[in-house]
Amino acid sequence: MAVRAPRFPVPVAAAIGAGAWGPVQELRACDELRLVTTPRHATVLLVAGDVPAEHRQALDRVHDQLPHPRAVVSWTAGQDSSSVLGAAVTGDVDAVVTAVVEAHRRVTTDPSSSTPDRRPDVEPNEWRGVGPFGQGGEGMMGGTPYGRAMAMTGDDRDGLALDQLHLTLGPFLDPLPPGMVMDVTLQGEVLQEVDLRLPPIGGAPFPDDLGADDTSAPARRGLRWLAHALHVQGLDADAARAARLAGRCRPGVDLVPPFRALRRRLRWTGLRWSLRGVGSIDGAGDAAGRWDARLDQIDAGLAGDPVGGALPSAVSWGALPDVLEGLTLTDAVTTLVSFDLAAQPATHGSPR
Amino acid sequence: MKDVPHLDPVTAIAVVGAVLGVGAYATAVIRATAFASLAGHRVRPAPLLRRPAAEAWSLVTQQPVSTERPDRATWVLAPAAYVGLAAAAVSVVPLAPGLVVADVATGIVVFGAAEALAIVAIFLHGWSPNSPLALISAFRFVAVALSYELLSMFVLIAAALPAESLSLGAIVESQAGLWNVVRQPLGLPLFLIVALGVTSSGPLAVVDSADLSGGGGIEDSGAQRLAWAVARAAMLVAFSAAAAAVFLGGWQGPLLPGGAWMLAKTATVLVGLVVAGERVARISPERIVRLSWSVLLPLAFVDLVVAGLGSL
Repeated sequence: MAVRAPRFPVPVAAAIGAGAWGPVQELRACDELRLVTTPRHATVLLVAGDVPAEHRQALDRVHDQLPHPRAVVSWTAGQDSSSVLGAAVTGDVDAVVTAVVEAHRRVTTDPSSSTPDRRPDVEPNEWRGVGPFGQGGEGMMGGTPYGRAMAMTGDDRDGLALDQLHLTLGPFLDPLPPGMVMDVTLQGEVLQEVDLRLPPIGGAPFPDDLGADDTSAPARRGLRWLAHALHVQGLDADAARAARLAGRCRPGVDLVPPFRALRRRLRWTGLRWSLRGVGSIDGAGDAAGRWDARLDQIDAGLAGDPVGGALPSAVSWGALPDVLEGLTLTDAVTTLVSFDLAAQPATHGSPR
Repeated sequence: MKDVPHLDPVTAIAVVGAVLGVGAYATAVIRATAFASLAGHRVRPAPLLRRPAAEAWSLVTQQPVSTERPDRATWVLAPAAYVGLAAAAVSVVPLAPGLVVADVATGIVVFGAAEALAIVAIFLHGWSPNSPLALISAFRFVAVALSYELLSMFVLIAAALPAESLSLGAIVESQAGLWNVVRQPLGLPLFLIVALGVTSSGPLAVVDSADLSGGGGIEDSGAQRLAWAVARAAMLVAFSAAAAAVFLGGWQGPLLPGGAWMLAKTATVLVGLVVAGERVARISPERIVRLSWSVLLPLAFVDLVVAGLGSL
């Protein structure tokens, strides 16, 4: 490696665009950087892949949430660098790690090079001054002060009146597929209403070698999914192991023994128990079943014997709200992750 | 009223500060080492020893970003309250023969109160930034915490029975012949579960978890984030020290001086808790509540019955 190892793993927030979700997961294997769950914890923003126009404003907001001193590295496929933020890098994971570590070092030694805000620091919506307390709604509840809905009571599933919290999740929320935007109504932690506004960003994976003729491609995609999924379930050390296997996945490299060793390690984490019974769907089992199917598929792929048949991600996009409504936010995330929507966007149906 | 033996205030503050400060740093080193070894990275002791200092310095020099209309006072006070509760908890734990910051007769009540009030600190931390995912982490922690914090009181009372005292000093002395971990085998594991819960780690990570994209700490940056990390580590140290004193015989042991035994036992518990935090998958809050009420709480009753029968 060209650069000196940093004194601690560089905290990196990833905003992921077209085709970059999988490659970014491989960064979990690196000792030199750490993918963090929120831009507030990062010094470097990694914009991976091309971010579509409808998400540019959200990307700017994510950028502005990084504390100073901050730097931006854009990981692009190389063809168009006109709309790129910060230093552009093309190439493989090693090139990105080098660029990130370098950007971190540069901005921490020279904080004046920290990138300025990309959006004005103003209220996103004006104060409207409606109703007795100015926010609209009834009494001190409800209404949309500054354009954001305030809690208002509504009937819950048990027939009681409980505060409703209206949220928009995405498009760059760590546990969700990149680009996916959901409007949800929560009571407590239970999702009462789910509206899917935008589907995950698709696009051909880059920079990569996962061509149709690459026999290791299905297993590698599976291992990238596994790295992210383990991270979401709180097993970051095992996620690093899965990511390392994904990075080593090439035709002719025998990864079956280390993969089986990883599966044995996972047996002692209580993971299967925590997934059992979560997100059960007619015909598609529960999260634990989908994980098992997925892990078997990776195993078969690594053994050079890819099994056919539908991926466990085969849920129609339009059916997702029905699957998620009534779940707690945690279980909804576990369910979404078990479907592997990021690597294989399910495009049948359309957002309702 | 009998005088409560205690240290003078300056020494007391120095002792508590040293225990929590050194303990929190050690926790960060242990965590980094455990992660490196579990993740299959190369474990190089020297950089790992320096890493928390470098990381802390980088946070101190970082901009603390604010949010839209946060509750600023409570945002700053939450980590202070949390670390203060860790200090209160550690102050009643005997660190060596004759060395306890406040040897109050009701030591386990003080410890239990500190642990219960931690709910308030953790809730305020999530409430303060005026940010939805942080708020959700806050209220779900409150919903979950009651179910397992009850365990702690039962296992501590069980440990107090053979000592016939609520003082941690007396509990340590009552283990001269037999440690509580043998006498009441259910006590230590249940107490460690509470420790994981109060510090929101591993299976009981409901606050700062990945499903909420960082949860309670989602808006923290710079010194704010450092303060919360230190407070969490300090609470883990307080629990480790209490576990060593209440269940592992505290400073008792052959050959070595008492302080060394206490240090070794506390460090062992701390390593166990940190590794469990990295090695066990997160459980959903709903499942934690169900598990606590239907399995763990009955086990705590069994522990109390065993302790009661043993003390007849």
